[in-house]
Amino acid sequence: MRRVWLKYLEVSRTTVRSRWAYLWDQVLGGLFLVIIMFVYVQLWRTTYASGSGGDFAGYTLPEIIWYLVFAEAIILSLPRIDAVLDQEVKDGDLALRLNKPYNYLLFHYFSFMGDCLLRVVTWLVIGGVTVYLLVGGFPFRWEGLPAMFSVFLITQTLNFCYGASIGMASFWVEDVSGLYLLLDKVKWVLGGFMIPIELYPATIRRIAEALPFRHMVGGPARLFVKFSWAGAGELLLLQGLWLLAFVGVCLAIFRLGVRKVDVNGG
Amino acid sequence: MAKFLQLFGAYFKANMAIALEYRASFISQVFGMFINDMIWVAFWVLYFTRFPVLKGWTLDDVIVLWASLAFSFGLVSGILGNARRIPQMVVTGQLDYYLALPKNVLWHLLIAQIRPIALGDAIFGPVLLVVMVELTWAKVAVFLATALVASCVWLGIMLIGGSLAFYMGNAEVVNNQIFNGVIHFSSYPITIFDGSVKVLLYTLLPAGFITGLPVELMRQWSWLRFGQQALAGAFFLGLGILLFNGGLRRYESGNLMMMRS
Repeated sequence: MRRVWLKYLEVSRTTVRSRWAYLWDQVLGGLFLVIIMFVYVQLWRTTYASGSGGDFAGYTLPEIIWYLVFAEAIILSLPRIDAVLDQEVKDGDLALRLNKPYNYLLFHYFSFMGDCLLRVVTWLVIGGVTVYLLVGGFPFRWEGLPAMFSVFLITQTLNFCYGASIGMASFWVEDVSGLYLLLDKVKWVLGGFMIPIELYPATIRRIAEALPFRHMVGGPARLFVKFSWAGAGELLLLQGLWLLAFVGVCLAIFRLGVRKVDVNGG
Repeated sequence: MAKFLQLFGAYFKANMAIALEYRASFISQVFGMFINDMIWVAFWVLYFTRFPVLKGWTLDDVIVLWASLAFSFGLVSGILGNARRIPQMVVTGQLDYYLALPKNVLWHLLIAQIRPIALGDAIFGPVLLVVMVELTWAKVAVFLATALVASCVWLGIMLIGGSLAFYMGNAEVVNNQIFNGVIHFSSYPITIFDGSVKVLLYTLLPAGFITGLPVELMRQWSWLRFGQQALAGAFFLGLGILLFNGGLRRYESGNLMMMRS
């Protein structure tokens, strides 16, 4: 049993090593995050200075900026698993992978997580240094780090299931790029990627609170900024419940889709 | 001029026919980008619901900003589909094909492809304006004029960034940084930036000419301000053409064999 999991951990390790070779490219690409964070700081600094919106749901300026750093790190560290699966279904690579001695989805999950971990560190360093220089730090609760790491792992697992389900829609539709753009951006808005959902109008906030997206972006970002053990426990519980549903949907799509695959030798 | 337009018409017709051959994919890409843009506007609607005024800007101004940005960018990137691919084409020697034909190299390569996904942007801009802004014919004319000048600025930036490949070799990273910087700064109200950043936005990263001035001109028309924008459009486009033509003399063939369908 242990050897089975070692096999998958090796997939993660291999992904990290292959991405490590292109670390410099990623760091150069990360300069874009410097621009994003600079613009965010200008926007929120102006907003706080004008004071037109009353209270800011308890966020100070540095807290809201750090919230955005964490939200950006979560989203930017996501590899495009939808595109990978879409391509494999279209090219027929899927048929070649199905007879390999590993579970198709687990293989991609561990590869995804390996890539994700390396990316998130890069984004956090670039984004963190940028906003530290611009607005300073905030009282980070280091003792909560293990809980935050667990939350991060489940967050990205939810995101994996979401992206993989979109990618596997290519079993039925010709092109999933439009579907991806739509569903990904719905996640952004209702997940609180660009602005914490606590600042939304009441009706939209209620809708966002009933959906899983806030557990995939804004909830974890808020926890990292305003950590409490009770908050971490509640978030982990809700994430766990949604994870069961997401894994179920992802597996169901995969099993239904695989039935449509024809293998003709070669 | 007529010959340029004739060539453009022939390519556009052929490219649309190719794109529509994969109808579902075409519609999905255009619709997807439309939704993508709508989500950004949704962010601003949510923002302005909470904070109604941002340093003199209201939701209406941001709507004009997004309409102008999407239309000007979509027009260049969608119809002149190769404009963003110049660095890649230079490095991989894909210019050989255009050099061998008796047409203007730059014009020919620019129009040789369309990008359906960017056409979604081009459609989104005017639709957004019509749906969300109270329009008069005068405002429509101002929008079209300023957005067309902004398109010239965009094309200039793409040519300048793309031509760096002739001088630097692999310039994709630098080109992407310039491009992403301009697009990001263009999508926020220019009033949130002060001092040296504002200077930057009217010089090296000319976002001010793409969205800042068009919004200002939609609020209050001024021939002087429009003249400044038109001058900037001519400058960036001219510099882009100059750098491309200069770079073309340094271009080395990739001896690439390829089939064009």
